[in-house]
Amino acid sequence: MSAWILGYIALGVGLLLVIRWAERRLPDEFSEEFIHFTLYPGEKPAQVRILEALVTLSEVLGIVLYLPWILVWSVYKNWKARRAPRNESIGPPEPRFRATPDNLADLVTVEEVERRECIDDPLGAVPPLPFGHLHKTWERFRADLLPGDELWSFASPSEKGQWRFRTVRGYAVRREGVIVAEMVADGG
Amino acid sequence: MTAQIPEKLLLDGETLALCSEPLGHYFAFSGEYPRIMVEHCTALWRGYVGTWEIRDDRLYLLAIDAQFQDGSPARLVDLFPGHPDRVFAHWFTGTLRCPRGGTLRYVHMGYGSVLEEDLLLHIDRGVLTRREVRVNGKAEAHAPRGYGPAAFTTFPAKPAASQGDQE
Repeated sequence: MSAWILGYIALGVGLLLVIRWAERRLPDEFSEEFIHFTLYPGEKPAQVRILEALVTLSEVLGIVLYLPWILVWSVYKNWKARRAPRNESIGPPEPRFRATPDNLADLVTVEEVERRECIDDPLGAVPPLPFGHLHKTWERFRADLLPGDELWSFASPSEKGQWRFRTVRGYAVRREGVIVAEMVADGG
Repeated sequence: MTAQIPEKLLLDGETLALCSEPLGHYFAFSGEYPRIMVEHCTALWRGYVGTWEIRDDRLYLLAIDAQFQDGSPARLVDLFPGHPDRVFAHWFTGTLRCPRGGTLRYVHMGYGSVLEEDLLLHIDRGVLTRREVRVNGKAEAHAPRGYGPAAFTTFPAKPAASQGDQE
């Protein structure tokens, strides 16, 4: 699929290059030559005619091949956005683990984590559950644990990303020696 | 890019401009990005303005000014079910920046403008651990005071769907 998309994009780029190349070889719009050919089109040399035809053909091809897809794509995006439920997630970014073998701290159990991560607030502004407002995230994370998985706490320093977290702290799953999942408890 | 409208922070009876986005951290950590990211304004790419409070040395989110994609208002309880009035920001560890005073240098990008001082609030798991004031200089007498974008472009927002539309 991605090869088709790349090919499609490459074709578009190719057309643009052809147009650019041909236009550079045509007389400048404000040149005497251009004005002369406009007044006396019969005197246009064959080379200019071919280049002009090439530009026109490439432009038409570009419009025919690409404009409908842009329209279809924008209509589809709009349609999809309208159909989506209000609270539907747009989707998280590609998984990237902040936990690395170097920053794993303690091997822990689910029970230990749930005890550690109980959050209390005197004003009751947090659910009385492990990880508070992130409890649903924890439930999903816990549900994916398999027998034999190792659960590790971790703290990762300095990450350059969308949010430029200085540090994040959380829990990672190590399966057969490889980190396969993580959950961030807090960071900034 | 355009200078961004800051969040609001209530602290010691004052409303400050907050040039940090703790709610963005929540979205990132929870993996849930609700559809309130409607870009109606170039000065508000994040699509919402949160009102925060430091009370008893704790960071709370009190309200959110935003819309869902269908134009209906997004309320705190929509993002944090069961908590319509106040949400403890336990997921945030880091430094909040509140610029104050006259403008030393206006930067029309992100939160780049420099004001006379920055109040830095160091937060650990939602709890205020330290306050720090960073003095950046003295602004000229005629310099604009307070933080905000000087200009931006807005796009028409969708009107909220009427009851008939929802049925």
